[in-house]
Amino acid sequence: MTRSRKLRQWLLGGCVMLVLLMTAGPGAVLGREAIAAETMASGWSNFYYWNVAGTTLRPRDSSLDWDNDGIGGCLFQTAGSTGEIFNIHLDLPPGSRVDYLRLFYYDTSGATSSAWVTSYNNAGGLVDRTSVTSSGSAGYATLSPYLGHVVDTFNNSYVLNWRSNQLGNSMRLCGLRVAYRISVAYTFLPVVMKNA
Amino acid sequence: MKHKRLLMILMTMVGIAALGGAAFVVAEPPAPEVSSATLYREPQPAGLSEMPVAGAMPDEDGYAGPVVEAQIEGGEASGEGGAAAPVDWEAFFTEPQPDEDAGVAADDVSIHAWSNFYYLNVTGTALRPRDSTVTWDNDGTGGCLYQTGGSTLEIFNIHLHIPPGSRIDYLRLYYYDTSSNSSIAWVTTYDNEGGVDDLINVSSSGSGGYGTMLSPYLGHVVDYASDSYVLNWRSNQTGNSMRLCGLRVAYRLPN
Repeated sequence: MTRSRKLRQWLLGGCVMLVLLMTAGPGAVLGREAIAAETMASGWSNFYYWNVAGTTLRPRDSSLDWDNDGIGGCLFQTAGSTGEIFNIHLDLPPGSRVDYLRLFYYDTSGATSSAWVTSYNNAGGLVDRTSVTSSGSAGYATLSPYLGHVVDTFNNSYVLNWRSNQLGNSMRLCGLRVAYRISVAYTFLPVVMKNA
Repeated sequence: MKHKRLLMILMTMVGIAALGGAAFVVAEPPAPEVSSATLYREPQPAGLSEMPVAGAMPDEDGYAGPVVEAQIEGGEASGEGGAAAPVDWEAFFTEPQPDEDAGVAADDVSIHAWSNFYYLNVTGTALRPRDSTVTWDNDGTGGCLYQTGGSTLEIFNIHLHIPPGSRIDYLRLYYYDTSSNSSIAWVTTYDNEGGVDDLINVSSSGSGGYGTMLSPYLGHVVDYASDSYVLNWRSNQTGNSMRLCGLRVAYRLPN
């Protein structure tokens, strides 16, 4: 085979590939979901945090009583059903991705408190996205499993919740910290194209 | 010659493909986890079954229909009515204020790396006590809060969240004070491990009724990885002679 014949075959092969690309689009090569996933994997910022002190949560039910640890950082339930819940609005940037929830606590009780993130669709639907519990009586912080939920505030409101499962200052909520990332997938594109 | 022609065709097609690829990326961002259209097609509770698809409402992108303008000024929505004589807070300022851009010298080198001021402005009645033994009420308009029972050493608070990496410069307290005591507001950080730091504070002053006071300059860069931030107020007085009407944090974003 002559050198020019080889070159011609390479070029023709390239042309055929390009025609296929143009007619079917990039999604036909990798799959659109795969491209989206690939973009997402490399298109997120470093961690940002939504960090709330325990004493900024309030009960969902007015029958509950509560107090704080004196310095004002940790909250505990003093009366009412231990099945009730303290909550606070969670306001993350739309389109950001919630990766983890960390619970900071003081626990010398035999019970276990739990914290979680819930989304409500304002039409009666709710989803508990991730949860974490205080573990044993020695620790002070536990981390949830990885979540990877993309915030959609068009359809959902988000709430942080905590249930003490124990009355008294042996079970305190000291803080909740949500680790999230912001999408940076399109920031490299020109402004005109980003807004197209 | 043949090779040159083939090369030209190839280059042209590469160019077109590159443009097409860019258009694909722009036109098709990752789909949201649950689209509103999908959600709205699901069975709805009674009264919500008529919810339209996304884009059909004024608060959705793409809407092009008529817009009904709000006409609830004066408090009709809450049924509480506005204050008989609304407070003109600006009237308290007889000179440029350091927590407003107009009050900052243009040649102030300390602000060059930072944006103009942004504000987090919290209504007094949005705060709640840290202890359920405390009782409270509002001034009728719903803007100003006061303590009605419990220890006057107890504290009202609310979560403070401003953009990560921004710089808190000032805290401003809006109040109504005809008491001989002074209330106090401040910003606290907690490291969730028992550590606490009161960053800055400001007190009400005098007993002449409505007023506003500004804290000293702070210049603290927020770090939510290590700390949570809280706004606090202590009345030091029960009854409506001491009211919290608002707290305003002046902050800057890094340029």
